[in-house]
Amino acid sequence: MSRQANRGTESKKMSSELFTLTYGALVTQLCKDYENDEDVNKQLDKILFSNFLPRGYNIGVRLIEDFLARSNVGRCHDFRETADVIAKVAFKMYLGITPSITNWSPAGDEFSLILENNPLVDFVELPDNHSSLIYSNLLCGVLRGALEMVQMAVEAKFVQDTLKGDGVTEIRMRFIRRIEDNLPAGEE
Amino acid sequence: MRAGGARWSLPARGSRMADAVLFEFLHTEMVAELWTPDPDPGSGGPEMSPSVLESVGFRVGQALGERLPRDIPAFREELDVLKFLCKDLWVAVFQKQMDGLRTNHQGTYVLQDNSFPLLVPMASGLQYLEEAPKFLAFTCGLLCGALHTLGFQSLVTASVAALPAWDMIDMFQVGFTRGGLQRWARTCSPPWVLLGCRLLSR
Repeated sequence: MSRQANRGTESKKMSSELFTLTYGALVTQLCKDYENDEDVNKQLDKILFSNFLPRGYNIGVRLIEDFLARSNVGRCHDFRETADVIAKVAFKMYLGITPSITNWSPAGDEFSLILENNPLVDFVELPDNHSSLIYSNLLCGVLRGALEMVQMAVEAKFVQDTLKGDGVTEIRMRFIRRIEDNLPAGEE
Repeated sequence: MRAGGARWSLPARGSRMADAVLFEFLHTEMVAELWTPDPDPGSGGPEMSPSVLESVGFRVGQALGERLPRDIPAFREELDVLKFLCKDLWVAVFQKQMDGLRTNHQGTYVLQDNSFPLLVPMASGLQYLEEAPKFLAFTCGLLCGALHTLGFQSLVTASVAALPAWDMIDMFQVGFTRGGLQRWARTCSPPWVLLGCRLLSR
């Protein structure tokens, strides 16, 4: 009986890695497909950055709906609350990690998420000369898409990455503006 | 398969874990980005190279096959391996077990999922049947990859039915018109997916 329970726990852990495992496999596969191409970096950047990065945005747009349904989190009153929710609730819920929040700008419109490890790169093999920042940028698209659905235009970018030899992985979040609801004329 | 006590406002999502949802969304985007229709449908056969989606699924299946805990001594025969896929692997990926497993005892297995989670979110009705192969490619690769880790070469194909096979007789009573089929499809639970798995060699 205890062995079955152990299996359940392991399976649960497995499913929590499925996203990172799949994304790692995706990138590895794309790298492999293009390894003989002269313009391998250009092609890969195009696939990952131009073509696929907007996919991160699409994921974010859907994810926020799921998040709001699951988490019972109320409306955030300011960017600091938003930061807390992102780090302590959303990251924990979807990726099983809790980044720390640091480096607030004096105006309170920028902060950094510090991740001990980059959660996305556990299962990927990148060519030596390829930028891991682009690989991880899917996450930035997700953050941007999700926050846009709750009326926040933000910029998210990786500024440090353990894969590149930095001590930590750091995502810089910048609040741009609040998005006003644009209701069609005549509707309430 | 319906989740008990739907507390969420999202329709018919069932009891998907949060992180599984993230995978599901990534899968949707991967399909949208990477699916290419087979340029020569007539060339089907073992030599046909797998699609990118299948290849990605293969890698994930390989990794899962290595990482999932399993009792190697317990794999006394092929059927044990298939049962492992239907239970442990399927639970790890889809939080549910496969609903049915049949074999001809000659290396071919049919795995049946009555509510395949990657298809459930799509609109019900017959139009999804055309789209369904895109959403099965990754999973076919996944099974192949897992089997590869466990020492088997395999061929995996998938098909979707709006009805379980044993209800075909009722369908004829309903009336084999498109309208009849559509009405029938709407009353059915989400799609039945049949995965045909042929083990080639050890």
